[in-house]
Amino acid sequence: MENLAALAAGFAVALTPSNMVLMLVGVLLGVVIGVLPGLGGANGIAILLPLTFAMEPVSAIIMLSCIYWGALFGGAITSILFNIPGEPWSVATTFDGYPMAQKGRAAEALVAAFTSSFFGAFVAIVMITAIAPLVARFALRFGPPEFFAVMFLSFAAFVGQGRGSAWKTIASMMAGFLFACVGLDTVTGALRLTFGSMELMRGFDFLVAVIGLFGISEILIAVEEGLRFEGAKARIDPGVVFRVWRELPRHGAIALRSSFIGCWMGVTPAGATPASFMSYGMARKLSRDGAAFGTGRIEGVIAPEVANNAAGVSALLPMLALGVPGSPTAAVLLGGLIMWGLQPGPMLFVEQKDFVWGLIASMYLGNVAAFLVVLTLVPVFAAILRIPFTIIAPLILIACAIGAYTVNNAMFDVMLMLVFGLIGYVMKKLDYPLAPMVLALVLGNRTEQAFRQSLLLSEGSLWVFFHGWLSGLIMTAGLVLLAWPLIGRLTASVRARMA
Amino acid sequence: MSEVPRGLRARPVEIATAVGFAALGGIAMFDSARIGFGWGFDGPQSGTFPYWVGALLMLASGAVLAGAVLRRTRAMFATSEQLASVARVFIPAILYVAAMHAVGLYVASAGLLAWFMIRLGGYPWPVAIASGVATAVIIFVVFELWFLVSLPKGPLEELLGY
Repeated sequence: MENLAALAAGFAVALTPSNMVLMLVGVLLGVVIGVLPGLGGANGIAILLPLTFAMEPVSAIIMLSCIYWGALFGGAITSILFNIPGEPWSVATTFDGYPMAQKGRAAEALVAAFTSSFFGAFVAIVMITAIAPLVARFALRFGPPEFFAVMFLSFAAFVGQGRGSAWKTIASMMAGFLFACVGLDTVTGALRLTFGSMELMRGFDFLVAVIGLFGISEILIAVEEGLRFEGAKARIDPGVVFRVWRELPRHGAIALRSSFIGCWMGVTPAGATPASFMSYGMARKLSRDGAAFGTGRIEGVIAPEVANNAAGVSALLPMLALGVPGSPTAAVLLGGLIMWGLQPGPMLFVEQKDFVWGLIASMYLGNVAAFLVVLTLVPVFAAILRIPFTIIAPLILIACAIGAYTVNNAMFDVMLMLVFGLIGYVMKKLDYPLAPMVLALVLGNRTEQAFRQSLLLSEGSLWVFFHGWLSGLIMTAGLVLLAWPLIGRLTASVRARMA
Repeated sequence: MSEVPRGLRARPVEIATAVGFAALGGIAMFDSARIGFGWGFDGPQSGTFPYWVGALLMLASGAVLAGAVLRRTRAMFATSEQLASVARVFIPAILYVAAMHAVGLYVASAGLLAWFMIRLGGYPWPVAIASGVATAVIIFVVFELWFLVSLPKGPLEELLGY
């Protein structure tokens, strides 16, 4: 009941006219960002973050999180109409969404995708409303060893749940931690990894890295594939909407299962992309005619869309309650909290009630707004992709450059953005995951701080992390996840020998 | 058998990237050793965390490197054609950032858009230049006037009194 009262107060914060306008602006921008290849949730928000310095933190986060919701919805539009996933998490949506569009059922696929997205997001928001305060209250008892253990667990989850090479995941993560170390060590005042460079003294700003890694590299990948947009036209009329809505309850089991997968994967930092693949795979495996998947089944649109929105939204739960983001976009939002002068972590629920509950209330409103916006404005957003890439690409480049410059008003950062863009391009081509690097870059300082404080408590003994039952438990879980690829390989070889 | 596409193979790039990461780890360990990675009088020294992170990075990239060296594949990193398209975007991007130093962001942005439209889009140059100028003006109105964010400026803006 306490939560509901707090939520009502949150609605009072979110429902002011100016915040409603920001919400709508955020959603519109978000859908555009989701539709354009090369601009995603993480770097779209990173570009706009510097413009929010002067805003009230709660208004700023409402606008930026609405960009995130918009991007989560928008990804489906290009997947279905153009067979181009606007976001990595909508790749699975192309499998059945595009065949549906080719058969002239684009409008149906879109309505199903949007409704599923909304359902997934809604389940996740309800979960956040119910669970986040409990997690935060529990986490208030955390000391430095427990915080380090939580960070360790989230990073171990990348290794355990990643699809590619575990070594590459670790390399990408450690590089991120090193980038975070560059500059002045605030504890001792020592200069680390600067090699006498004045520019490096400030350290690498994670926003610049995000814009380069996700923005510039994404454009390079897009031109390499020689983007040509040939898509189905779509207009959604109310008749289709109601017809699809009548049909959807039949797929309720898929939707519930997918939202569960999404929430779980979103809370652990595996993120929206694997969640969408996993729930698509589950839907196909458990369906009576799984072989027909890929030819334009509506379930093949519902499953990934429910899951990716559920995962995208629930990535905010650990960010709010623990200060450990569950996705790169949540990591950028966390960086925003720090910039606006808020201390992320469980104290947020105690000290910044208005902020937290205003944000949670705005999630409900923002997702309703995003749902209505995409349903009514699909033709407009689809038209954006008909603008030739020779115009879109330089505009995205300019937006990235402005975003990188405004972080610190430094030209050096714009060059750094290009360097990160090239690094991101090569890493993507070689299947190095980028998300661990970004999360390590954002969390590096706080991870190190927790590590140091823990060692201070124990006077240098690493056993401090296993001393308390809670941190020991979390650390053990992390170690199991870390060893997971190894265990998997062992059981596979044992099985091969048995056969 | 189909014709082998010309371009860059994945293996050398894989090896070079792993070596690059390993070098980064090595540099980090070296620099951390300089500032100390032991136990100081006030707790772990500054270099402790980056030292071990660097060590882990070297370990991980060593494993990737070993895998890449041992596994001989003919997989492509990118074909010559793909690399050329990437260069067609990335080289102007580098020049754009370099030009920003000299003439400021507005003129450079107008130039970048016009260049793309003329060279890659095949638009007539008056249309391209007009679009470039329009873009610069819109950016100016949004950032400089609306959000009061000052962006890098060059001699042209100075001439106009900014």
